[in-house]
Amino acid sequence: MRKHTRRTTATRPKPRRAGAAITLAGAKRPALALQAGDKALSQALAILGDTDDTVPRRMEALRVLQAATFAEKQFDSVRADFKAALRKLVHDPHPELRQRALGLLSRGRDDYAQSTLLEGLKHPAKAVVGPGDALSYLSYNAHAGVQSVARSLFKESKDDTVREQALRVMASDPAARGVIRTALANKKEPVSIRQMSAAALHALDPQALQDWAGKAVLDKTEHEDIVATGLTAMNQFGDSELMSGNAALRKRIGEMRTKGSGRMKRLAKSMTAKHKL
Amino acid sequence: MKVEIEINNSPQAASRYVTWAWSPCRIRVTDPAGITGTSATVGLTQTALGGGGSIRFASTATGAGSATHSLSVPRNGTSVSFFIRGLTASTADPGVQITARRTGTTAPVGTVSLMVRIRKDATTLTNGERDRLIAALAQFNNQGLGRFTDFAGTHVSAGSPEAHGRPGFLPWHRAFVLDLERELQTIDRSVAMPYWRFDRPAPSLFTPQFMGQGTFNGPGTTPVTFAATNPLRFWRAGPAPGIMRDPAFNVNGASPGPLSQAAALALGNPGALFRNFRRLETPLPGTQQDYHGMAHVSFSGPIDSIPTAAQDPLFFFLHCNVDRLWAVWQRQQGRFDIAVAAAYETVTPPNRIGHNLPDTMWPWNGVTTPPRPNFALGGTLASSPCVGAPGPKPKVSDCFDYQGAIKLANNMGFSYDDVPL
Repeated sequence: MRKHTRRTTATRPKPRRAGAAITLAGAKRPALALQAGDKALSQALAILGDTDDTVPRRMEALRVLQAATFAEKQFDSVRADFKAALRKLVHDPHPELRQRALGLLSRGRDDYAQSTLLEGLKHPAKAVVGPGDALSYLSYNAHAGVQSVARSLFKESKDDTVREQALRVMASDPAARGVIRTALANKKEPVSIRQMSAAALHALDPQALQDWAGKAVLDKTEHEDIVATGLTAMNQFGDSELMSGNAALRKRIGEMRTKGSGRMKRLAKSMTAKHKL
Repeated sequence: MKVEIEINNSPQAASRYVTWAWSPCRIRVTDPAGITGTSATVGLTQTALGGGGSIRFASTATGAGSATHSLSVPRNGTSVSFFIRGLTASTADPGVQITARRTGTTAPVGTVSLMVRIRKDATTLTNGERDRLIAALAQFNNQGLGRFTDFAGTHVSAGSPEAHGRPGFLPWHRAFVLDLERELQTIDRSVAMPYWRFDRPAPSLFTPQFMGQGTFNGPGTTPVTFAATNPLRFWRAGPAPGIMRDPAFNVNGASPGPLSQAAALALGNPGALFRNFRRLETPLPGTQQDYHGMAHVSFSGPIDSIPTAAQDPLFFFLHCNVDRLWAVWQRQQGRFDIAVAAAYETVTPPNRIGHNLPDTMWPWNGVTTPPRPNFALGGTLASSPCVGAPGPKPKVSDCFDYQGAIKLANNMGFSYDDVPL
């Protein structure tokens, strides 16, 4: 299985200067000088795995291999080697390659990538990427073990990027509903956290988001981005009958049609037309 | 005197959408008051409405057509057929009004409004077209609870042999894009699937107002940024909400990976053979170029991998462009007719099932026994109130003559802005 990743004299590419590039569609990409025929994919695998080669060339080799995965039958001869190479890249010295490999493996729900990422979240000294990225990769297969880690990180982390990713994972976790609702309603939370909370609550409990949005739109002390998020949720997914029967909402939307920023006016007009407010 | 005009031979408002292809229409007298003989001569004219666009009329589905049309309509209510086709595209619904007047009079005796609904370059959409499209997408997705999950769940590893690496790649994806387009049209009839010309700059596509803004050369771990008013901010097609899609290229320019259109079209040479042309799917051995695969891997995020690619709605814009290129090639080379050997790749022994002209295509055929995948999401292919093709369980052979150039009944109900009939 590994014979394709072991370099031989026959498959090893000639050393190239770091700046060597080809022009494709007006932009430069590193030239890999791949051989014609069946050996091209093995050659790309060799470049990808060569830690002495440049990062741009290795990234380019990865792109070629990724594109080739769509070939299905033709890629089968190197599919197992490609997976093995990606798993090896999880520990590559270069973060870009680690990230790309973890992304591809996670999208394929690879067990090795998942266990490595979880281990890193529990024991940061073993982490191959930061906790935000790790949660993002784990979100492709957010099972109970991942969700409990996400809840802890949302509570404890001071990094809003990590907390946003935790919210994404929590969006499939019914046990997190209360935490998400609290974050959404908390005006001290950053707008980005509250907007992600809205998306997470929408995924978990659409009616709860509609209930919140109805209140947020009437709250004149709310941040405009939050009101716009609430209005967008109501406009797209709300119940027209309920909205048209809500006198306070109709009045508020009427005010927005004439006062406020251009985007709020447009939203209010759109809601009026769509839901006959 | 009053007449009724039917577009696509249907009285339904939902049928009043045309493309560059000839649409069968008919007119009949509903109130004969004032007709003294057995028939009356009626003139048909067109007026551009708010959505704009224009059409051509003809007695038969041939030729260039004309801007107006005259016909004799029997007093007894018998329908008279005529044909129309789009000449310029509408940007909203309705776009064109057809008015019938009795010859020698000015008062209308009947009107009907319609839209010339055409697939366009996503960067050319008006704000209205863009907003209606993303609203329909968001509603169909419905925060992950809607039927979009069937599309995302079909384009996965287990279904991949049905769709990739073999001759059926292009027909299968033509049906896949059409299926979603028709679903969106049940939400908003004015929507047509746009295409992403990935070999050209498309900066207006990757904005917070449209498909979201990613981070140049980012790792694809944070969701793209959407405007607070963009309903795609509630997108969810996998376990978690948000769309990850960081471009590996500066979106003010073209992605450097895909071949140019001219180079991709030339893949069909020598012989303008389908089996050569379909090499656009993945990098040619020994090269770093193709048309399709390199577009997928222009990003870090779900769209770069088969199991997750269709979770990103951009997937459908990308594949709409791949399909458009096939349409361009078909027209250049005269490859709409499956009776022309070079229009497809037929081999002995046959291709894997699902990749031969007479084969039905999964998942629309509902077959879940080997070698087909053991699941088939979404049921049959969505029907259209405008056309009958390709049918609920399309065969590979049903996906070639998409504008009915060979046989009117083959019309699949879509056209591209830069590919005439």
